[in-house]
Amino acid sequence: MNRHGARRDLWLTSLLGFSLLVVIPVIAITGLLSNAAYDPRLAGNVLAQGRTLGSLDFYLFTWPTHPWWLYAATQGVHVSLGLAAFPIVLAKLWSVLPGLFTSAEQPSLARVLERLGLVLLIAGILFEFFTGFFEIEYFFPFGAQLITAHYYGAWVVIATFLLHAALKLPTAKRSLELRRAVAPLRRDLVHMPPPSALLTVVAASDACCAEAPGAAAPISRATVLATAAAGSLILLVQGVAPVIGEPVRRLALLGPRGNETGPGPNDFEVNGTAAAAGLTTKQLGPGWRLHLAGDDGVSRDLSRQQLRRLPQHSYSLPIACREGWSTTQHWTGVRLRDLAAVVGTDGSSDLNMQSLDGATASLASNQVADERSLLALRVNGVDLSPDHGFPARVIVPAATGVNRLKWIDSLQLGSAAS
Amino acid sequence: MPACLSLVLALVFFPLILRLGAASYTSATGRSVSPYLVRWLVLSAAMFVVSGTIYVIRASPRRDRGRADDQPL
Repeated sequence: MNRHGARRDLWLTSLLGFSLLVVIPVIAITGLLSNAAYDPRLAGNVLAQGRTLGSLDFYLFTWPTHPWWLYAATQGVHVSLGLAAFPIVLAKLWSVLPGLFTSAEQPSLARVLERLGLVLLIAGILFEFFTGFFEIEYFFPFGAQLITAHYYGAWVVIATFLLHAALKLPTAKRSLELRRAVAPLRRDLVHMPPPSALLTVVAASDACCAEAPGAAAPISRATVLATAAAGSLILLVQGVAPVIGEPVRRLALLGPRGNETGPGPNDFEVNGTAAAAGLTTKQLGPGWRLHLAGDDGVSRDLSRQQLRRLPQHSYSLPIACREGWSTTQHWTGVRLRDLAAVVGTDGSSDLNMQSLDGATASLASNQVADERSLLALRVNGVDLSPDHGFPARVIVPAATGVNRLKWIDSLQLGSAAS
Repeated sequence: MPACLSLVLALVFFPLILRLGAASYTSATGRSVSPYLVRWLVLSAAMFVVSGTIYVIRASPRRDRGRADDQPL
Protein backbone atom coordinates (compact mmCIF):
# COMPACT_ATOMS: atom_id res chain seq x y z
CA MET A 1 0.00 0.00 0.00
CA ASN A 2 1.13 3.53 -0.52
CA ARG A 3 1.69 5.68 2.48
CA HIS A 4 -1.69 7.39 2.25
CA GLY A 5 -3.32 4.06 2.88
CA ALA A 6 -5.84 4.90 0.21
CA ARG A 7 -6.95 2.83 -2.70
CA ARG A 8 -5.28 4.13 -5.80
CA ASP A 9 -5.44 1.66 -8.63
CA LEU A 10 -5.76 1.30 -12.33
CA TRP A 11 -9.43 0.48 -12.21
CA LEU A 12 -10.30 3.70 -10.37
CA THR A 13 -8.13 5.72 -12.75
CA SER A 14 -9.71 4.01 -15.76
CA LEU A 15 -13.24 4.60 -14.55
CA LEU A 16 -12.55 8.31 -13.96
CA GLY A 17 -10.71 8.42 -17.28
CA PHE A 18 -13.65 7.00 -19.19
CA SER A 19 -16.07 9.47 -17.62
CA LEU A 20 -13.75 12.31 -18.66
CA LEU A 21 -13.51 10.78 -22.14
CA VAL A 22 -17.23 11.52 -22.44
CA VAL A 23 -17.38 14.83 -20.57
CA ILE A 24 -14.30 16.68 -21.87
CA PRO A 25 -15.23 16.41 -25.60
CA VAL A 26 -18.73 17.74 -24.82
CA ILE A 27 -17.21 20.70 -22.96
CA ALA A 28 -14.76 21.31 -25.82
CA ILE A 29 -17.43 21.16 -28.53
CA THR A 30 -19.90 23.42 -26.69
CA GLY A 31 -17.03 25.82 -26.03
CA LEU A 32 -16.14 25.99 -29.71
CA LEU A 33 -19.83 26.46 -30.51
CA SER A 34 -19.87 29.42 -28.14
CA ASN A 35 -17.01 30.98 -30.06
CA ALA A 36 -18.97 30.46 -33.28
CA ALA A 37 -22.05 32.02 -31.68
CA TYR A 38 -20.07 35.18 -31.02
CA ASP A 39 -19.45 35.39 -34.76
CA PRO A 40 -16.15 37.26 -34.39
CA ARG A 41 -16.04 37.70 -38.17
CA LEU A 42 -18.41 40.62 -37.71
CA ALA A 43 -16.66 43.89 -36.94
CA GLY A 44 -18.64 45.05 -33.93
CA ASN A 45 -18.53 41.85 -31.95
CA VAL A 46 -16.72 41.78 -28.67
CA LEU A 47 -14.40 38.85 -29.23
CA ALA A 48 -13.08 40.29 -32.49
CA GLN A 49 -11.99 43.48 -30.77
CA GLY A 50 -8.43 43.52 -29.58
CA ARG A 51 -7.36 40.45 -31.49
CA THR A 52 -7.00 39.56 -35.12
CA LEU A 53 -8.51 36.35 -36.37
CA GLY A 54 -5.88 33.65 -36.63
CA SER A 55 -5.78 30.24 -38.23
CA LEU A 56 -7.46 28.75 -35.16
CA ASP A 57 -10.54 30.90 -35.81
CA PHE A 58 -12.37 28.90 -38.41
CA TYR A 59 -16.10 28.94 -38.93
CA LEU A 60 -17.95 26.15 -40.62
CA PHE A 61 -21.40 27.69 -40.46
CA THR A 62 -23.35 30.84 -39.73
CA TRP A 63 -24.86 30.80 -36.24
CA PRO A 64 -28.55 29.89 -36.67
CA THR A 65 -31.60 31.46 -35.00
CA HIS A 66 -33.34 28.09 -34.54
CA PRO A 67 -34.08 26.64 -32.08
CA TRP A 68 -34.53 29.77 -29.98
CA TRP A 69 -32.94 28.15 -26.90
CA LEU A 70 -29.81 27.05 -28.78
CA TYR A 71 -27.20 29.21 -27.04
CA ALA A 72 -28.88 28.88 -23.66
CA ALA A 73 -28.52 25.10 -24.03
CA THR A 74 -25.00 24.87 -25.47
CA GLN A 75 -23.54 27.38 -23.04
CA GLY A 76 -25.52 25.99 -20.10
CA VAL A 77 -24.02 22.59 -20.87
CA HIS A 78 -20.53 24.09 -21.31
CA VAL A 79 -20.50 25.88 -17.95
CA SER A 80 -22.39 23.21 -15.96
CA LEU A 81 -20.27 20.32 -17.21
CA GLY A 82 -17.16 22.46 -16.81
CA LEU A 83 -18.02 22.88 -13.13
CA ALA A 84 -19.02 19.23 -12.72
CA ALA A 85 -15.84 17.93 -14.37
CA PHE A 86 -13.57 19.69 -11.88
CA PRO A 87 -13.89 17.16 -9.01
CA ILE A 88 -13.54 14.28 -11.49
CA VAL A 89 -10.31 15.74 -12.83
CA LEU A 90 -9.03 16.31 -9.29
CA ALA A 91 -9.87 12.71 -8.35
CA LYS A 92 -8.18 11.45 -11.52
CA LEU A 93 -5.06 13.49 -10.79
CA TRP A 94 -5.03 12.17 -7.23
CA SER A 95 -5.34 8.61 -8.49
CA VAL A 96 -2.25 8.87 -10.69
CA LEU A 97 -0.21 11.15 -8.44
CA PRO A 98 2.50 8.59 -7.52
CA GLY A 99 2.80 7.54 -11.16
CA LEU A 100 3.41 11.09 -12.31
CA PHE A 101 6.76 11.19 -10.57
CA THR A 102 8.05 7.69 -11.15
CA SER A 103 9.30 6.18 -14.35
CA ALA A 104 8.51 2.55 -15.00
CA GLU A 105 9.91 2.70 -18.48
CA GLN A 106 13.29 3.37 -20.00
CA PRO A 107 13.66 6.99 -21.11
CA SER A 108 13.04 7.34 -24.82
CA LEU A 109 12.02 10.09 -27.19
CA ALA A 110 8.47 8.78 -27.30
CA ARG A 111 8.35 8.64 -23.51
CA VAL A 112 9.67 12.20 -23.18
CA LEU A 113 7.10 13.49 -25.68
CA GLU A 114 4.32 11.63 -23.89
CA ARG A 115 5.33 13.16 -20.54
CA LEU A 116 5.60 16.61 -22.11
CA GLY A 117 2.10 16.23 -23.53
CA LEU A 118 0.87 15.16 -20.13
CA VAL A 119 2.36 18.21 -18.41
CA LEU A 120 0.72 20.46 -21.02
CA LEU A 121 -2.60 18.63 -20.58
CA ILE A 122 -2.62 18.98 -16.79
CA ALA A 123 -1.48 22.61 -16.85
CA GLY A 124 -3.88 23.40 -19.69
CA ILE A 125 -6.92 21.79 -18.13
CA LEU A 126 -6.36 23.52 -14.76
CA PHE A 127 -5.86 26.81 -16.63
CA GLU A 128 -9.16 26.27 -18.48
CA PHE A 129 -10.99 25.48 -15.25
CA PHE A 130 -9.76 28.54 -13.41
CA THR A 131 -10.12 31.02 -16.28
CA GLY A 132 -13.68 29.69 -16.65
CA PHE A 133 -14.42 29.98 -12.93
CA PHE A 134 -12.96 33.50 -12.77
CA GLU A 135 -15.03 34.58 -15.77
CA ILE A 136 -18.36 33.46 -14.32
CA GLU A 137 -17.45 34.97 -10.94
CA TYR A 138 -16.47 38.38 -12.33
CA PHE A 139 -12.90 38.08 -11.06
CA PHE A 140 -10.50 39.52 -13.62
CA PRO A 141 -6.97 39.33 -12.19
CA PHE A 142 -5.39 39.53 -15.64
CA GLY A 143 -7.54 42.24 -17.16
CA ALA A 144 -10.06 41.63 -19.89
CA GLN A 145 -8.07 38.96 -21.73
CA LEU A 146 -9.61 36.05 -19.80
CA ILE A 147 -11.80 34.79 -22.63
CA THR A 148 -9.10 35.04 -25.28
CA ALA A 149 -6.75 33.09 -22.99
CA HIS A 150 -9.52 30.55 -22.32
CA TYR A 151 -10.04 30.12 -26.06
CA TYR A 152 -6.41 29.52 -26.97
CA GLY A 153 -5.84 27.39 -23.86
CA ALA A 154 -8.66 25.17 -25.10
CA TRP A 155 -6.67 24.23 -28.22
CA VAL A 156 -3.73 23.14 -26.05
CA VAL A 157 -6.09 20.96 -24.00
CA ILE A 158 -7.85 19.52 -27.06
CA ALA A 159 -4.57 18.53 -28.74
CA THR A 160 -2.95 17.02 -25.65
CA PHE A 161 -6.21 15.39 -24.56
CA LEU A 162 -6.50 13.56 -27.90
CA LEU A 163 -2.89 12.41 -27.61
CA HIS A 164 -3.36 11.26 -24.01
CA ALA A 165 -6.64 9.46 -24.76
CA ALA A 166 -5.15 7.67 -27.77
CA LEU A 167 -2.12 6.50 -25.76
CA LYS A 168 -3.99 5.44 -22.64
CA LEU A 169 -7.22 4.03 -24.04
CA PRO A 170 -5.86 0.48 -24.50
CA THR A 171 -4.58 0.40 -20.91
CA ALA A 172 -7.83 1.76 -19.52
CA LYS A 173 -9.94 -0.67 -21.52
CA ARG A 174 -7.79 -3.54 -20.35
CA SER A 175 -8.21 -2.51 -16.76
CA LEU A 176 -11.99 -2.48 -16.99
CA GLU A 177 -11.95 -5.83 -18.78
CA LEU A 178 -9.75 -7.16 -16.00
CA ARG A 179 -12.48 -6.59 -13.51
CA ARG A 180 -14.69 -8.98 -15.43
CA ALA A 181 -12.18 -11.61 -16.50
CA VAL A 182 -10.50 -12.36 -13.25
CA ALA A 183 -7.14 -14.00 -12.78
CA PRO A 184 -4.81 -14.81 -15.64
CA LEU A 185 -4.20 -11.35 -16.95
CA ARG A 186 -1.37 -10.38 -14.64
CA ARG A 187 1.15 -10.13 -17.45
CA ASP A 188 -0.81 -7.14 -18.79
CA LEU A 189 -0.43 -5.16 -15.62
CA VAL A 190 3.07 -3.85 -16.25
CA HIS A 191 1.68 -0.64 -17.72
CA MET A 192 0.62 0.99 -14.53
CA PRO A 193 3.18 2.61 -12.26
CA PRO A 194 3.85 2.42 -9.36
CA PRO A 195 4.58 -1.28 -8.83
CA SER A 196 2.78 -1.17 -5.47
CA ALA A 197 -0.44 -0.44 -7.35
CA LEU A 198 -0.15 -3.72 -9.25
CA LEU A 199 -1.16 -5.71 -6.20
CA THR A 200 -4.17 -3.47 -5.86
CA VAL A 201 -5.17 -4.09 -9.45
CA VAL A 202 -5.08 -7.80 -8.88
CA ALA A 203 -7.27 -7.20 -5.86
CA ALA A 204 -9.64 -5.32 -8.13
CA SER A 205 -11.20 -8.62 -9.06
CA ASP A 206 -12.41 -8.75 -5.46
CA ALA A 207 -15.42 -6.78 -4.41
CA CYS A 208 -14.92 -3.12 -5.12
CA CYS A 209 -15.00 -2.02 -1.49
CA ALA A 210 -13.02 -4.82 0.09
CA GLU A 211 -10.86 -3.85 3.01
CA ALA A 212 -7.31 -3.02 2.02
CA PRO A 213 -4.68 -5.59 3.00
CA GLY A 214 -2.18 -4.70 5.69
CA ALA A 215 -2.68 -1.33 7.28
CA ALA A 216 -6.36 -0.44 7.46
CA ALA A 217 -7.18 1.94 4.68
CA PRO A 218 -9.01 5.05 5.94
CA ILE A 219 -10.11 5.93 2.43
CA SER A 220 -11.79 3.31 0.29
CA ARG A 221 -12.23 3.46 -3.44
CA ALA A 222 -15.93 3.81 -2.86
CA THR A 223 -15.25 6.90 -0.76
CA VAL A 224 -13.05 8.44 -3.41
CA LEU A 225 -15.69 7.81 -6.06
CA ALA A 226 -18.52 9.01 -3.81
CA THR A 227 -16.65 12.19 -2.93
CA ALA A 228 -15.89 12.95 -6.57
CA ALA A 229 -19.49 12.19 -7.54
CA ALA A 230 -20.97 14.31 -4.74
CA GLY A 231 -18.69 17.23 -5.55
CA SER A 232 -19.54 16.86 -9.21
CA LEU A 233 -23.26 16.80 -8.45
CA ILE A 234 -23.14 19.89 -6.20
CA LEU A 235 -21.22 21.80 -8.84
CA LEU A 236 -23.54 20.56 -11.60
CA VAL A 237 -26.48 22.05 -9.68
CA GLN A 238 -24.63 25.37 -9.43
CA GLY A 239 -24.47 25.41 -13.21
CA VAL A 240 -27.81 23.89 -14.19
CA ALA A 241 -30.14 25.66 -11.74
CA PRO A 242 -29.55 29.14 -13.26
CA VAL A 243 -30.41 27.73 -16.70
CA ILE A 244 -33.69 26.17 -15.57
CA GLY A 245 -34.75 29.41 -13.92
CA GLU A 246 -37.13 30.25 -11.06
CA PRO A 247 -37.58 28.85 -8.50
CA VAL A 248 -34.88 26.20 -9.05
CA ARG A 249 -32.32 28.99 -9.59
CA ARG A 250 -31.98 29.45 -5.85
CA LEU A 251 -30.53 25.95 -5.48
CA ALA A 252 -27.35 27.42 -6.95
CA LEU A 253 -26.32 28.65 -3.51
CA LEU A 254 -22.75 29.35 -4.54
CA GLY A 255 -23.41 29.96 -8.23
CA PRO A 256 -22.96 33.61 -9.23
CA ARG A 257 -26.56 33.72 -10.48
CA GLY A 258 -28.28 31.73 -7.76
CA ASN A 259 -29.92 34.72 -6.14
CA GLU A 260 -33.54 35.27 -5.30
CA THR A 261 -35.27 37.60 -7.72
CA GLY A 262 -38.28 39.78 -6.95
CA PRO A 263 -41.80 39.27 -8.31
CA GLY A 264 -41.94 42.33 -10.62
CA PRO A 265 -41.99 42.13 -14.44
CA ASN A 266 -38.48 43.59 -14.60
CA ASP A 267 -37.10 41.56 -11.69
CA PHE A 268 -35.05 39.07 -13.66
CA GLU A 269 -31.30 38.69 -13.86
CA VAL A 270 -29.41 41.76 -15.03
CA ASN A 271 -26.13 41.67 -16.90
CA GLY A 272 -24.62 45.13 -16.55
CA THR A 273 -26.59 47.79 -14.70
CA ALA A 274 -27.45 51.23 -16.09
CA ALA A 275 -25.51 52.79 -13.21
CA ALA A 276 -22.40 50.77 -14.04
CA ALA A 277 -22.71 51.80 -17.69
CA GLY A 278 -22.63 55.42 -16.53
CA LEU A 279 -25.93 56.35 -18.17
CA THR A 280 -27.71 59.55 -17.16
CA THR A 281 -31.44 60.21 -16.82
CA LYS A 282 -31.09 62.72 -19.64
CA GLN A 283 -29.74 60.08 -22.02
CA LEU A 284 -32.61 57.74 -21.15
CA GLY A 285 -35.21 60.55 -21.10
CA PRO A 286 -37.79 61.73 -23.66
CA GLY A 287 -35.05 63.33 -25.79
CA TRP A 288 -33.78 59.88 -26.78
CA ARG A 289 -33.85 59.06 -30.50
CA LEU A 290 -33.02 55.86 -32.33
CA HIS A 291 -30.53 56.68 -35.07
CA LEU A 292 -31.39 54.30 -37.87
CA ALA A 293 -29.23 54.15 -41.01
CA GLY A 294 -29.57 52.08 -44.17
CA ASP A 295 -26.80 50.86 -46.41
CA ASP A 296 -27.31 53.47 -49.11
CA GLY A 297 -27.19 56.66 -47.06
CA VAL A 298 -30.85 56.74 -46.00
CA SER A 299 -31.22 57.55 -42.30
CA ARG A 300 -34.05 58.26 -39.87
CA ASP A 301 -34.24 59.38 -36.25
CA LEU A 302 -37.14 57.78 -34.41
CA SER A 303 -38.54 58.68 -31.00
CA ARG A 304 -39.88 56.03 -28.65
CA GLN A 305 -43.45 57.12 -29.47
CA GLN A 306 -42.79 56.68 -33.18
CA LEU A 307 -41.35 53.24 -32.55
CA ARG A 308 -44.43 52.33 -30.51
CA ARG A 309 -46.64 53.23 -33.49
CA LEU A 310 -44.84 50.73 -35.75
CA PRO A 311 -46.26 47.16 -35.77
CA GLN A 312 -45.50 45.55 -32.39
CA HIS A 313 -44.70 41.85 -31.97
CA SER A 314 -44.19 39.72 -28.86
CA TYR A 315 -42.02 36.65 -28.36
CA SER A 316 -40.73 34.70 -25.36
CA LEU A 317 -36.96 34.55 -25.77
CA PRO A 318 -34.03 34.03 -23.41
CA ILE A 319 -31.18 36.28 -22.49
CA ALA A 320 -28.46 33.64 -22.60
CA CYS A 321 -25.14 34.65 -21.13
CA ARG A 322 -21.74 33.18 -21.85
CA GLU A 323 -21.49 32.73 -18.07
CA GLY A 324 -23.95 29.87 -18.51
CA TRP A 325 -27.10 31.29 -16.94
CA SER A 326 -30.15 32.28 -18.94
CA THR A 327 -33.57 33.77 -18.33
CA THR A 328 -36.53 33.57 -20.70
CA GLN A 329 -38.88 36.57 -20.73
CA HIS A 330 -41.74 37.87 -22.88
CA TRP A 331 -40.48 40.74 -25.04
CA THR A 332 -42.51 43.21 -27.13
CA GLY A 333 -41.14 45.55 -29.77
CA VAL A 334 -40.50 46.25 -33.44
CA ARG A 335 -39.07 43.62 -35.77
CA LEU A 336 -35.51 44.42 -36.87
CA ARG A 337 -36.47 43.60 -40.47
CA ASP A 338 -39.33 46.14 -40.28
CA LEU A 339 -36.79 48.76 -39.16
CA ALA A 340 -34.54 47.75 -42.06
CA ALA A 341 -37.50 48.35 -44.39
CA VAL A 342 -38.02 51.85 -42.89
CA VAL A 343 -34.63 52.86 -44.30
CA GLY A 344 -35.22 51.02 -47.56
CA THR A 345 -32.99 48.02 -46.89
CA ASP A 346 -33.98 44.49 -47.83
CA GLY A 347 -33.47 41.49 -45.57
CA SER A 348 -29.94 40.63 -46.70
CA SER A 349 -27.98 43.17 -44.66
CA ASP A 350 -25.92 42.68 -41.51
CA LEU A 351 -26.55 45.05 -38.63
CA ASN A 352 -24.02 47.10 -36.67
CA MET A 353 -25.38 48.30 -33.34
CA GLN A 354 -24.12 50.89 -30.93
CA SER A 355 -25.42 51.57 -27.45
CA LEU A 356 -25.52 54.79 -25.42
CA ASP A 357 -22.57 53.62 -23.32
CA GLY A 358 -20.44 53.09 -26.43
CA ALA A 359 -20.68 49.30 -26.62
CA THR A 360 -20.93 47.77 -30.08
CA ALA A 361 -22.09 44.47 -31.50
CA SER A 362 -23.01 43.11 -34.91
CA LEU A 363 -25.68 40.73 -36.11
CA ALA A 364 -25.46 38.58 -39.23
CA SER A 365 -28.11 38.93 -41.94
CA ASN A 366 -29.91 35.72 -40.94
CA GLN A 367 -30.35 37.14 -37.43
CA VAL A 368 -31.71 40.44 -38.72
CA ALA A 369 -34.12 38.63 -41.07
CA ASP A 370 -35.66 36.37 -38.38
CA GLU A 371 -39.20 37.48 -37.56
CA ARG A 372 -38.55 37.03 -33.82
CA SER A 373 -35.58 39.43 -33.78
CA LEU A 374 -36.86 42.55 -32.07
CA LEU A 375 -35.92 46.02 -31.01
CA ALA A 376 -37.69 45.42 -27.70
CA LEU A 377 -39.41 48.34 -25.96
CA ARG A 378 -41.34 46.38 -23.35
CA VAL A 379 -40.95 43.19 -21.35
CA ASN A 380 -43.63 41.13 -19.58
CA GLY A 381 -46.23 43.78 -20.39
CA VAL A 382 -44.42 46.85 -19.04
CA ASP A 383 -41.72 49.23 -20.26
CA LEU A 384 -38.15 47.97 -19.94
CA SER A 385 -36.43 49.06 -16.74
CA PRO A 386 -33.20 51.08 -17.11
CA ASP A 387 -31.20 48.02 -16.03
CA HIS A 388 -32.84 45.98 -18.78
CA GLY A 389 -32.05 48.46 -21.53
CA PHE A 390 -34.67 51.25 -21.54
CA PRO A 391 -35.48 52.97 -23.91
CA ALA A 392 -34.87 50.02 -26.28
CA ARG A 393 -32.82 46.86 -26.50
CA VAL A 394 -32.19 44.27 -29.19
CA ILE A 395 -33.30 40.68 -28.61
CA VAL A 396 -32.49 37.85 -31.04
CA PRO A 397 -33.39 34.14 -30.81
CA ALA A 398 -30.54 31.69 -30.06
CA ALA A 399 -27.93 34.47 -29.87
CA THR A 400 -25.44 35.20 -27.11
CA GLY A 401 -26.31 37.85 -24.53
CA VAL A 402 -23.65 40.38 -25.49
CA ASN A 403 -24.67 40.32 -29.14
CA ARG A 404 -28.00 41.84 -28.11
CA LEU A 405 -27.25 45.32 -26.88
CA LYS A 406 -29.19 47.37 -24.37
CA TRP A 407 -29.76 51.17 -24.41
CA ILE A 408 -29.61 51.22 -28.22
CA ASP A 409 -28.28 54.45 -29.69
CA SER A 410 -27.89 53.57 -33.36
CA LEU A 411 -28.64 50.73 -35.75
CA GLN A 412 -26.63 50.73 -38.96
CA LEU A 413 -27.60 48.26 -41.69
CA GLY A 414 -24.98 47.10 -44.16
CA SER A 415 -22.02 44.78 -44.33
CA ALA A 416 -20.52 43.98 -40.94
CA ALA A 417 -17.61 41.84 -42.15
CA SER A 418 -14.42 42.76 -40.37
CA MET B 1 -15.34 13.66 2.75
CA PRO B 2 -17.18 16.82 3.84
CA ALA B 3 -13.85 18.59 4.36
CA CYS B 4 -12.79 17.52 0.91
CA LEU B 5 -16.04 18.73 -0.68
CA SER B 6 -15.86 21.98 1.23
CA LEU B 7 -12.32 22.49 -0.05
CA VAL B 8 -13.34 21.77 -3.65
CA LEU B 9 -16.20 24.29 -3.42
CA ALA B 10 -13.78 26.84 -1.96
CA LEU B 11 -11.36 26.19 -4.83
CA VAL B 12 -14.08 26.82 -7.40
CA PHE B 13 -15.83 29.73 -5.73
CA PHE B 14 -13.06 31.51 -3.82
CA PRO B 15 -13.38 34.71 -5.91
CA LEU B 16 -16.99 35.05 -4.75
CA ILE B 17 -16.37 33.82 -1.20
CA LEU B 18 -13.40 36.15 -0.69
CA ARG B 19 -15.17 38.98 -2.62
CA LEU B 20 -12.24 39.37 -5.02
CA GLY B 21 -14.41 40.58 -7.89
CA ALA B 22 -16.86 42.52 -5.72
CA ALA B 23 -16.91 45.69 -7.86
CA SER B 24 -17.40 43.93 -11.20
CA TYR B 25 -19.94 41.53 -9.65
CA THR B 26 -22.03 44.44 -8.43
CA SER B 27 -21.83 46.38 -11.68
CA ALA B 28 -22.86 43.29 -13.63
CA THR B 29 -25.64 41.97 -11.42
CA GLY B 30 -26.75 44.99 -9.40
CA ARG B 31 -26.26 42.91 -6.25
CA SER B 32 -23.79 42.62 -3.42
CA VAL B 33 -21.34 39.73 -3.43
CA SER B 34 -21.44 39.54 0.39
CA PRO B 35 -23.78 36.51 0.91
CA TYR B 36 -21.33 34.00 -0.54
CA LEU B 37 -19.01 33.64 2.45
CA VAL B 38 -21.92 32.79 4.74
CA ARG B 39 -23.48 30.46 2.15
CA TRP B 40 -20.23 28.56 1.79
CA LEU B 41 -19.88 28.24 5.57
CA VAL B 42 -23.49 27.06 5.91
CA LEU B 43 -23.12 24.55 3.08
CA SER B 44 -19.89 23.23 4.58
CA ALA B 45 -21.49 22.94 8.03
CA ALA B 46 -24.48 21.12 6.50
CA MET B 47 -22.19 18.62 4.78
CA PHE B 48 -20.39 17.91 8.06
CA VAL B 49 -23.72 17.39 9.82
CA VAL B 50 -25.00 15.01 7.12
CA SER B 51 -21.70 13.11 7.09
CA GLY B 52 -21.64 12.90 10.89
CA THR B 53 -25.22 11.64 10.97
CA ILE B 54 -24.44 8.92 8.43
CA TYR B 55 -21.38 7.91 10.45
CA VAL B 56 -23.34 7.68 13.70
CA ILE B 57 -26.08 5.61 12.07
CA ARG B 58 -23.54 3.24 10.53
CA ALA B 59 -21.50 2.91 13.71
CA SER B 60 -24.59 2.20 15.75
CA PRO B 61 -24.33 -1.18 17.56
CA ARG B 62 -27.97 -1.94 16.77
CA ARG B 63 -26.97 -2.45 13.15
CA ASP B 64 -25.90 -5.81 11.81
CA ARG B 65 -22.16 -6.12 11.84
CA GLY B 66 -20.04 -7.45 9.05
CA ARG B 67 -21.70 -5.66 6.18
CA ALA B 68 -19.40 -4.91 3.27
CA ASP B 69 -20.24 -1.21 3.33
CA ASP B 70 -20.00 -0.88 7.09
CA GLN B 71 -17.42 1.84 7.17
CA PRO B 72 -17.47 5.61 7.39
CA LEU B 73 -18.27 7.27 4.12
